[in-house]
Amino acid sequence: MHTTQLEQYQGKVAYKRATSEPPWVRWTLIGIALVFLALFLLIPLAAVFAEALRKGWGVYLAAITEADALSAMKLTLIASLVSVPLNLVFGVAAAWAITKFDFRGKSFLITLIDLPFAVSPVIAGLIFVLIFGLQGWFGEWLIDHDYKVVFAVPGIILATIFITFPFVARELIPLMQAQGKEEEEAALVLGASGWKMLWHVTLPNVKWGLIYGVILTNARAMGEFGAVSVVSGHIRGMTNTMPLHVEILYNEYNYAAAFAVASLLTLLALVTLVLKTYVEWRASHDAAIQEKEVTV
Amino acid sequence: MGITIQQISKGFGQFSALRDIDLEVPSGELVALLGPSGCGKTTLLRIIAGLESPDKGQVLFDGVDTTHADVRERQVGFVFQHYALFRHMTVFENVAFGLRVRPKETRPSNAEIKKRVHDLLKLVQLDWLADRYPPQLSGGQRQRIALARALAVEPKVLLLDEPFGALDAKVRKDLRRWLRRLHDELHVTSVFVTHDQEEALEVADTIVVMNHGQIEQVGSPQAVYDDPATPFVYEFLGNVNAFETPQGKGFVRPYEIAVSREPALNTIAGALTYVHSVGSLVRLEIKRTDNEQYVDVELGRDVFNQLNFKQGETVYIKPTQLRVF
Amino acid sequence: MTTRKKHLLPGFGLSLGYTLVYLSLIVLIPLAAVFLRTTELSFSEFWAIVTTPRVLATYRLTFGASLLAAVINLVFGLLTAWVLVRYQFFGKKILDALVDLPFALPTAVAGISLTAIYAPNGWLGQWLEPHGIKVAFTPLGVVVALTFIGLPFVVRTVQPVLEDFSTELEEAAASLGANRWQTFFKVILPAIWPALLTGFSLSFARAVGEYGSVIFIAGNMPMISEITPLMIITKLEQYDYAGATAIAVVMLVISFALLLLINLLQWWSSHRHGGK
Repeated sequence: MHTTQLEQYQGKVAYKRATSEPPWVRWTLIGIALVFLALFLLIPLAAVFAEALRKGWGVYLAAITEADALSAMKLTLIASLVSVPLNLVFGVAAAWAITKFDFRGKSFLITLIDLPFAVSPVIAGLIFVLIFGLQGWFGEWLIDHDYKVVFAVPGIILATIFITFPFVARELIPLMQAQGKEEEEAALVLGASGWKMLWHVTLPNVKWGLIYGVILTNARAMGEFGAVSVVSGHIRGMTNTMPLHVEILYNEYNYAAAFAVASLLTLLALVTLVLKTYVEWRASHDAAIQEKEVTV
Repeated sequence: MGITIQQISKGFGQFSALRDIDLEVPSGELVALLGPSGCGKTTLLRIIAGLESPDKGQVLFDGVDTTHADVRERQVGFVFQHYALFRHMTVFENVAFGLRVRPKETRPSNAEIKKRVHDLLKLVQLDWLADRYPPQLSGGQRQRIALARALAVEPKVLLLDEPFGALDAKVRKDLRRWLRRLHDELHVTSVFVTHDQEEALEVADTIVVMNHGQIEQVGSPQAVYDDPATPFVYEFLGNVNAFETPQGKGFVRPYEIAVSREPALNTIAGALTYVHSVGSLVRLEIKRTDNEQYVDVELGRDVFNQLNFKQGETVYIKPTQLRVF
Repeated sequence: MTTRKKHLLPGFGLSLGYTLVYLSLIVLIPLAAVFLRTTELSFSEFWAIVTTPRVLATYRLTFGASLLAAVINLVFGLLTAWVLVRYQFFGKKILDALVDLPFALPTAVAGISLTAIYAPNGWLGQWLEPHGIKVAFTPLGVVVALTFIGLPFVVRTVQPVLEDFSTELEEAAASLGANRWQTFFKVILPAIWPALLTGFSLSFARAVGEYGSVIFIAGNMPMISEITPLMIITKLEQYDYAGATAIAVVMLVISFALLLLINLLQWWSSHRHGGK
């Protein structure tokens, strides 16, 4: 791990060294990178807020406090509150099985867990329509029993779970792999039960990875559009999540309102990035402390 | 508590790690499992602990079959090679862990835990580190904390996997002496694994020399060093010269060779190629004239000074003791 | 029967069992449904659906634009990673954190924002329009959206490899007389190549399935700016489940092939870097 001091040092004297570029090359490269990032990240980011506030704060506030907007927020929150804990429990269970035991087909299992990443969101929505929709496998049964999955909240939740399925497991597996089994074995020799071991030894050790996974899951769950769009049916005030509400407003040429709601989602994304950066910083900070040995 | 190992075998896939091991560890002894890496010593230790289950055979604690007992019921203390300290807990919490995870009925009160942990930290002379985290400790300190943690549950058997393996030479020496003293004080049956013969010779009451999943010899440090049972033990413990004799391969320690300028009955001629003279012993490197093989010889400084050999001169050597297998 | 292997740590059956059940319920069975539904079609029916001119046009756009976007990200992602790892400049930390914005920003928001920027009266559109460059509501707009979506992948796969890259190797190259270009192409690039390729395929795979950010900016004109995922939705809205499913199967097969390729790449790179 490099120390910041060393990096600063390298930065200052870099041009004198054989392993760096002359200043004009450096600044050209930095310039190109800045233009690229500005074009694709900064300008779109700024545009959201500019468009949202184009007609003033009054319109902005009205757009985000309107009844349909509020119910969309509520549904987005529900979808996230259900899918995050479920995928969290799954992630811990999968990481435990995969990293602490040897069994055949392990790498195949890891690939299967990754599958939802490879599936287009639209298809993620489609599969649930195929199963629970009117013409689906359980379609008739659901109608007979007066349950609605597709074009209703359960479908939105299912699609969200599918889309965010791998995040926590993906974060935990490499972490727990790297940490090995010794601490768990030590806990076992000292008499800890399985749950106590999990709670007092394993989970605290992967704390930051776990939080990181939850942050990513939550961001994706709240922002998912394609999959949810297929299963929701776009019923205003009933099955609209925030991203769907943005789409409806936009398609009605109500741009200011669409961007107002979009700005909330953008703030959520920015908060996510801040949390993510903080967690990364904490994790590497903890790791740095662990590498530093104090010899007395 | 005494440990009895009966007919233990263990394989990993095609690889057979242990084959029909029989071993008796008397109560209160400090035993070293010594051997090169891959000889099965760590596997045997883990089987005693219950961290690994044998393919066949039994482990008896004081005559009671514990082969299939859960690790948690065995009351063993295990010190891991890399200590396996819980890095997110303070030193105090690490040592207290084994007490805190007990079921409510048998768990000591907080005050008792506190006293027990501090007593143990005093025992390992690290009371002042109670609030530190493992990453902030030196290797030697971590080692001692790992030991205190293992002792906190009042184990009937203490098992240590390469306890000094990850430490530098100086700390290693200190800790060796310290572990010896600690064992004399506590008298808990202890087994440790090492690949370092010097370590085993210095610390253990009994040494178990292992190779290729089998026990080569069991005995006191003096017995295994002076009276090796097999060529392997001879070569593994200390420097040794091998001589071809009509009866088979003969082994001689470097200090069991007489050197003179005059040929005599059964002496072997050789050229003195190198003299290494630092410390109380002088090491000579002699190249045999007949088969060009090198022989290491150790002489006391006074003997060497008397004879005053020069590099390059021809000398005649004769083993004073030769063990043939 | 062989003896059951005893596991030391507890919870193997429970955790693996739970993993498999949950995986099957949420992912495997629903995905299998897509393939099973297509068996209701005969092969010639299936083939007819997935090869109509309009559908073929969507493949061309989806894969062409995704490829182009991935290439853009390959070049500029590498450059960005290089700049972020090697150079110091004001605001670097913030930019570094912002690279993940496309992961965090809901795709619909990205879609409407990019559309607003590149529309003929938008911030950038108004400058491009007089030069005859139309971005919004054209295939070019699709490329822009897909570049945005795939931006973090190359940066994030290359960055750690560059960070770990030992300066000693560069110094060795320099001491042997290599200039900066030679060092970059002969020493550095080969070392980061697997990561670069992985990032490229990840961003390509992501772009192929993307929907939310594209539909706003694309204009969605049949034969011109319609992407394959939109085709699936169009079929669904016409209650043509069989048609939607057939196209979905084509996409799934391609996506799985890409996933396999990415896994192979990662396996390859880890074995190369592991030195074994």
